Amino acid sequence: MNTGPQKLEELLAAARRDLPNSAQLQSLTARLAPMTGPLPLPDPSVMGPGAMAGGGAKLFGFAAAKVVTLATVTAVGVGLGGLALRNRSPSPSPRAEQIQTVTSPPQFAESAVDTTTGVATGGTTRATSEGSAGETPESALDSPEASRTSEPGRSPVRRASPVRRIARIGERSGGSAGLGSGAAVVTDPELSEAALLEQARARVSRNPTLALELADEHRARFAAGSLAQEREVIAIEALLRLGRRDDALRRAQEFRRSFPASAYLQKLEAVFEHVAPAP
Amino acid sequence: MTVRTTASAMVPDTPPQGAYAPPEFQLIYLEYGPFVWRAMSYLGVPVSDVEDACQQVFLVVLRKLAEFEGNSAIKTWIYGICLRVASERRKRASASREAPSAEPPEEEVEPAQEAELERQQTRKRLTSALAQLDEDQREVFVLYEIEQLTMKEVARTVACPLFTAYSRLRLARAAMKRLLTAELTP
Repeated sequence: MNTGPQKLEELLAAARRDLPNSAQLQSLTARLAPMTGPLPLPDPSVMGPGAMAGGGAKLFGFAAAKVVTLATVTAVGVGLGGLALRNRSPSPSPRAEQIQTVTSPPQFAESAVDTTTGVATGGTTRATSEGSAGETPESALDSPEASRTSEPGRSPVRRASPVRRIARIGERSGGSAGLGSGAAVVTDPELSEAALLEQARARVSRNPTLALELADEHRARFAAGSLAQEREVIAIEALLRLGRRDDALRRAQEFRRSFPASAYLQKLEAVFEHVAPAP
Repeated sequence: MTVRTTASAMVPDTPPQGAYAPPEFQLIYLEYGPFVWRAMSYLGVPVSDVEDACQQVFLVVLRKLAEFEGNSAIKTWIYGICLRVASERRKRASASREAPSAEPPEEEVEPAQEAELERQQTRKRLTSALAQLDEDQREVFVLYEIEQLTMKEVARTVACPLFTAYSRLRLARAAMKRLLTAELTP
């Protein structure tokens, strides 16, 4: 007879709490110590199942915003003797047996992902820090310095061709607030390959449907264009943002087959890592 | 309440600027000891073999730590060692016809220890299903779903492209749901 959790997610939550008990860790430590020298004993009262009610936190090490600082190095040891451990962590001074948790925004926060560095940031904060209120938003696919400012409540007018739904194209190159201005659609059917793609790129976070249409139009008009890789990255990100994960995955694998040495593969991985909602 | 289910607190996971000096072994052990144990338990190492397997992992870490130059994150490096040791242990158990992890022997528990009993049953249900996955899928699934590595870390640990890791995870999830549902169906 089975007792306890039955569903996969419940079983996994229980598994994450399933750490060894004190006796098991003591036994392992005792076996290792003769070969390794004195060892601290991981503390099951801190790390053990009983201490981990939440069970679902995802940590990214020191490079990430979610940090758990465990400063108990000298306090939890058994048989530590004079063992001196240099604390290389960037955590604060070792206050014994104190654990500090810092929570970050959700991993997949839309409009808040730098796909080049793979670091999620708050979109508002980022725009502010760059001190460029009137600057044209650029996709993070462009450069690490690019921003993605979102514009709640504003969506382009729908017309026959996605190209014709683009606002203030002429202002793009001038660095004005074209994309965020809410202006009516005026497009140039002869929009250049680069300009068309730029329109798609600029919309990928706040209007992925349109970005995808623009990317597809780019593919239709410039099948052998020089910006095919950039287009695919935009299309894949748009698919992920639309929740079409399988389509994105298929297109990404196709991309990898077509461009196995592409520098965009790294960006694409960052997009999958930070933009994609959990499947 | 303290929440801590992954290894990443004390040992810097990303190499610092400048010349890289690996962290001390003792810190690594303190940080990763419980998680290496858990990983071994769910990667198909027989229950009776988990402690030996953990010992082997940390002896490899100790031996190779001086050579670790920070070209990869310490976390993916250690979990990579876990995967190799677990794979070797599974094969050894299979070759010697020991009980595989799918049917681990029950640990002795006091009748009153219902929580412990439930923990064991949960582990048994999961490991039984995990044992039926392909090794590639099982590794990705365990690293992501239980060890809570990011997908990028998972891909680096198993040395496959990120998209392949995503595909394996998707297949593994579907298979696990199917297996667990079938198990409950009379």
